[in-house]
Amino acid sequence: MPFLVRGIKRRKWDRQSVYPWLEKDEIPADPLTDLPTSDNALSVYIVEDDKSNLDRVITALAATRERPDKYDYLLFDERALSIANVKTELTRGNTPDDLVNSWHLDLVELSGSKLLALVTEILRSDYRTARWLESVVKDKLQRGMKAGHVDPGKMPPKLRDAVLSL
Amino acid sequence: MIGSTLPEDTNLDNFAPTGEGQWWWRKRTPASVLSTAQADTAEPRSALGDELLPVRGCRGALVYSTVLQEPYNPTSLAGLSREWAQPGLRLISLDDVPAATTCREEFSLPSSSTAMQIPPIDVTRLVEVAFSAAHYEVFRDGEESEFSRELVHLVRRYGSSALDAIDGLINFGEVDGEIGSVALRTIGRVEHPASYTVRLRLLERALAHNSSWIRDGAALGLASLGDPTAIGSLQRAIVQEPIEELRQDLKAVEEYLETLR
Repeated sequence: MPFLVRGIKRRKWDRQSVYPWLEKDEIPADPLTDLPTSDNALSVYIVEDDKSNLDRVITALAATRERPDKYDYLLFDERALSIANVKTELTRGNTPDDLVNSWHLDLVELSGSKLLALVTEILRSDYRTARWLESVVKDKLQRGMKAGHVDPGKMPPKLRDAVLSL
Repeated sequence: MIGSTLPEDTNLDNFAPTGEGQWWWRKRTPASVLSTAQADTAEPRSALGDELLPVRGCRGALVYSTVLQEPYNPTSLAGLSREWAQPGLRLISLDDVPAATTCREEFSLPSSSTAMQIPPIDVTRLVEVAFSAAHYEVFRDGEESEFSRELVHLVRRYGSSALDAIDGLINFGEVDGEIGSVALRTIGRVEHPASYTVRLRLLERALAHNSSWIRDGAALGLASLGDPTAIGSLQRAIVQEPIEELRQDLKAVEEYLETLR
């Protein structure tokens, strides 16, 4: 079963954050606020079972930012979508990597309760968060550009110039 | 003349108007007149860029041409001087300065003088205002925020005074975790050699904060600073870190700083 990945703020998903006020079967609000929808849809990218394309996806996502910075991401099992009854649409992504854009998925027709169900399911599952430091992001972007995966012409100019000047 | 270099023997402590409707100042690096501006220009900062200072050696007085009195009111003048005001700076009309006065001399102001006392700058208040305004911002990684831009300006302008105020808010006061994190990441990134040590110490102290966001921001700030001397502080923080994911993030910064040794 493939995975799905999305940029997040890692601190909002720490498993060991203890909230003594949280009642049984409740989830904290922070993860919900870290998945802002647009037109009731959420953008994710498909990652292979063996995670062989994960690096390339994260590089492409990092290449959409205005300037070099750390990149935090959330990786979760696609199964969470069916459990939460979330509808999907395969649409092209908008990163500077054309191949990665073909791995884009929109989670659509998201009601408040479906979003809550999805986040609840993610938090109950074996989800994973990780971080690339800024130094790693710069390195990956440079490699991505050299390999011809990331099109410099489609990167934000400040980011492109910062990477090219390395 | 705009952009001209002053002759070698120019006494930079003296100054004179180049004509009516103009004022002048020099940047931190001496020995050249970088620009002048017309009296009706309300944005000297944009005309001349950053790091504008009153001419040194003039005992905190910035002399302006009398033409500036019109159409500006004192509030406008105070506003014009905000970017380069030092506490206690006085704006004095050139008309009030006796002829041939050098900056090193005292002079008496006539009773009709338009001299204004610029109130002391409350840097702590400026920092508090910036933190307060940050509550209305949405922060996104990889994007510059108004808050971080303002902090960079305050640190560059007021140095350790601004950092003391930031330190007070973060390490000894109440601050929202994410706002504190953004502040610390900004402190690590700002290019300001004079405050380097103060910033390093502030970041190291914040590694022991009770907010995971602030501990995280401190580590990221240290990563930006790129100073391997912070490794010891990070190692102590790693040992004490109860949150597994954050412990991983602290280790990643430690490993990165090790590569810089």
